[in-house]
Amino acid sequence: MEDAFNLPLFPVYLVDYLGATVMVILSFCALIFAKRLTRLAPKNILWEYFFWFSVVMVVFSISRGVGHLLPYVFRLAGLPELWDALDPYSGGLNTIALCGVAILTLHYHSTAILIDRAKSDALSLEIANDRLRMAHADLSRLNQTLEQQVEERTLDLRLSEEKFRGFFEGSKDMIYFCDAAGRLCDINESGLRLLGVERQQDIVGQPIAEFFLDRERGMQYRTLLVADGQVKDFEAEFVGREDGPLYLMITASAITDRAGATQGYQGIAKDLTHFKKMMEQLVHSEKMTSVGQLAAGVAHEINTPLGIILGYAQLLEEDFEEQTEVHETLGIIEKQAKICRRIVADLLNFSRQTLEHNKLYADLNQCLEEVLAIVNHTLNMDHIFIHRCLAENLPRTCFDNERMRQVFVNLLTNAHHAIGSEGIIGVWSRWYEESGQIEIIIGDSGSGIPPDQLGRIFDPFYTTKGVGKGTGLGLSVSFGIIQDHNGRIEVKSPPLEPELVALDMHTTFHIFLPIIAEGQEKEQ
Amino acid sequence: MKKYAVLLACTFLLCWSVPAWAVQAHGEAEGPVVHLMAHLLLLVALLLLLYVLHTRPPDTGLSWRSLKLSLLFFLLWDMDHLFIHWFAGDMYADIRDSGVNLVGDYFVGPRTVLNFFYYLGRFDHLLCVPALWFFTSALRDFCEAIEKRRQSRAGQVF
Repeated sequence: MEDAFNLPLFPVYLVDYLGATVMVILSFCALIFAKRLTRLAPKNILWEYFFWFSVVMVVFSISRGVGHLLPYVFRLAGLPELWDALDPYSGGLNTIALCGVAILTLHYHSTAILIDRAKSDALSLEIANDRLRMAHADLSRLNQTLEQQVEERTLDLRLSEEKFRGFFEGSKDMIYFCDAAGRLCDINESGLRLLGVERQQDIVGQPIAEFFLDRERGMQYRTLLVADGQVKDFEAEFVGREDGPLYLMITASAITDRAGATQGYQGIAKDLTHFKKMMEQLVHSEKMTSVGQLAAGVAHEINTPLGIILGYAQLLEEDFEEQTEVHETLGIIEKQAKICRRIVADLLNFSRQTLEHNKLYADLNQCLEEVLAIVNHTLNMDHIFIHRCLAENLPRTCFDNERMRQVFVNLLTNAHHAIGSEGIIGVWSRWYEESGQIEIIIGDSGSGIPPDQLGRIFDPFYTTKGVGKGTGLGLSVSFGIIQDHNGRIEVKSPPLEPELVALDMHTTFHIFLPIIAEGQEKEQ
Repeated sequence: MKKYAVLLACTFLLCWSVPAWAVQAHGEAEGPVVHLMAHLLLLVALLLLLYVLHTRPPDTGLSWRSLKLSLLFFLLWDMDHLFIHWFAGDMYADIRDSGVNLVGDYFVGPRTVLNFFYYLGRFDHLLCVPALWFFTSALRDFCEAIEKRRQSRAGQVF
């Protein structure tokens, strides 16, 4: 018996009895709470599952309760056979309840997966919807501010366009744009003015190379621009205004698209014509000053021995009787010495170093009239007519009357020699209030001066006249005298003014003198 | 359809069931097998539910822990029943019925581990009652949590 169990079953019955009773109570409590949950959150699948789980648990508890309690009751009542009839139904109900719980759980699991998927899809849809809403909000905002943005951009563009248009139109330099073939597309007002063109359409479409005075220089410009994509400080002479060629300094570059292909060219050309002329005048002035200093030095050194030669020649002349060979020879020496002295005097006059200034406040027209009165007879003999056009209210100015007469005589003599016989000499006097200058023009209808000689006519001893007819000091002396008056003298051959050309003037000398008010001469 | 088919099959078996030896009596042949299958099905379902709640918990807190404990006790109870049903036929033990006097009933048989565990397994209510208790407790806590949440929302509104 020691190897056999003999365990009491009453504890089992007791636990079964109490447990079954508690199970029934708890299952109903669970059902009540589950029902409450479904009411609180009707659409929750978990609560729904718990509700049906609780329902099945009630059935299960009852079936178990019946299965555990009734056998004892029937046994105690002495009717155990009754339980044999009920037992299969109690067990079947118990099995169904188990299956029900299992099926419900599996069903919940499947439903939960489906719900998770649906939630995931819904979340994706919600995210997409949110993005769509944000995009719509952005679009709406953009739509609302589009007009304002367009206005702002348009204003910016207009300001930018105005700025660059102002720079383009207001620039004193020539700004131009060409297409890829080098034909002008656009050019500013300064460019038109420099090139002497009135309307832009007259020039648009023309190759810019055609405006180069030297075609080879134009080809060089084009080659450099195509090869390097830019040219910088490229100096060239352009065919320009009526008063001569333009001297331009060009800086240009190629316009390329994003791919690097050349779409055209843009450039700025600076007009250096005036600067170049000024430089030439400065160089000429410096040259004349140097020559004058040299001449003054030579003249000063020669003047003393020349005076001695002339003095001794005159003394010796008194020692010999007239009509003798020696007397005549001494006369020739005296005459040539006097010629030399005059040349020396001219040189000194040109160099302005020795003569004392005798500047007075006077009328230039009067001075001019006096000179014309002197030379008028000589000119009439050669049938040369004098055209006078003197300003009526020419301001008085301060000048050396004698030396100014010498200038006028030199110029009129030159004009006479240029004409020879039968012609016109024109004399004009003008004044410019804004620049404070008086201009005296003396022109002739002679043959004119070749361009290659224009730059040399004021050089000392330069003359185109025959031997013995001129010393080549007339114009250089005049140049020196005018400079001594703080003025300038220019020559135009042919003249530029239509009025002068109309009078058949081929060469004109322009003397510019400053208007000096009375009382200012000492300061000057 | 599957659900209805299973329900129909269970009902059909219930109608033709006959008494059998187990914790609770079933039919001669089909009854215990079907009941065993039902317990197996429940085991699978409970394992799956526990796995789902563990891997993807809908929420955290005491109520959810109670729910998990409830499922765990149900699972143990189900395993206990499987054990009892599975080995009931292999035992050489018997119940000494004392008639009306329930105190006089004894579990008699050879002193084997199987018999001992079978005897212990008869106390299955020690597993299913806590399971149902935790389940009820979890449901009550869910209700309270929802009501508190609603009250706090209402408080915010007003």
